Amino acid sequence: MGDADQLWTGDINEAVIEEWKAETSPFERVREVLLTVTTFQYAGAIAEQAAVSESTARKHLTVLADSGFAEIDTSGQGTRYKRSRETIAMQRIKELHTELSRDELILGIRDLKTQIQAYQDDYNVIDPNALAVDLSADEDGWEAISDWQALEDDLKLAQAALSLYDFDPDLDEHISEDAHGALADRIGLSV
Amino acid sequence: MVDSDSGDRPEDDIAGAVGPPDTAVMRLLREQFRRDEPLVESSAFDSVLQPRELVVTFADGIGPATHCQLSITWYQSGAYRFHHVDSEGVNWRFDRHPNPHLPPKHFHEPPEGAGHTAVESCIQVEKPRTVGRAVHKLWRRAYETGTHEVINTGQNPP
Repeated sequence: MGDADQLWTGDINEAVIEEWKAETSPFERVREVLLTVTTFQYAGAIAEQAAVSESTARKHLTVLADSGFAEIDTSGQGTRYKRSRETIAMQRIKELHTELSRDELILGIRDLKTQIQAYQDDYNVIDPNALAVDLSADEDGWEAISDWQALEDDLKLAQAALSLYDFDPDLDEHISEDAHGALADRIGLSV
Repeated sequence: MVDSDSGDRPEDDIAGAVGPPDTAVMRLLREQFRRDEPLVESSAFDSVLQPRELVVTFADGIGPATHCQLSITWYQSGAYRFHHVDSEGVNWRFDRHPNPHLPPKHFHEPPEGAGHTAVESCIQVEKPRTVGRAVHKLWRRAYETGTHEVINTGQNPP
């Protein structure tokens, strides 16, 4: 347990940064900063945010890339890093698959599609990015765009979680036997 | 549970692109509150299928309140919303998001936490863990002193 339940002295912004540095290792800080990096950045920029040296950041980012936590881009002058979309997607797919039954997922997917359709009908555009183009800062709808973007992700992730129910390598033989039997029944063959 | 309208979404005062809610960051914040605050009773997403808020409930509240909760949304752009409501109906919110009439980092003051008015936030750090910790500390001080009065004051004398 940290010192966060203790009060602070002086300015809160300085206090939380000092505590963060005191309680985490350089690796943990690089990992945490990386978690918020959604567009490719150089090690130097990540190092600054994580309060570590550039060489330390590069060392840890290499480890994080090797373990699949970071994506890398080497098309520019040096290596740039961002968080791995796959790692984040896998986390949610696993949770959806663990917490929801097949039927709940099927119903959920139907509901998500209905909500997306409702946004398309309400705003008369095909996707949230098209809505953002037309919207000024004084208009309502920014919250809807955020929700709609999230719904598009929710739908893809729920569909991936549902497809996991059909995937069981240990039962492959079983399934094909059953399928074979069902097919034989349907076309009137005796097995 | 806290008061009946606690589940309502706050008023729509976001005016600009913030991206979708960022569940990976919200998971980090969940771990932080669980670990750092002994009064945390539960901390869960509002939905598995379409997570938009992390709801952290506390076994006690500030002053006369007997319960309270923080509803947290962290957006992919780094925008956020930490919305407090308690059993006495006291609302306040630490926000960061675009709005042409408000500072980017702002505080909707108690007791209403009204969406259309806000003051500059004392929280100027931007990383999830530091923002989460700052909100927690400000809540803790208010809890220990039993008043919401200085909730948005970043200075704490020795």
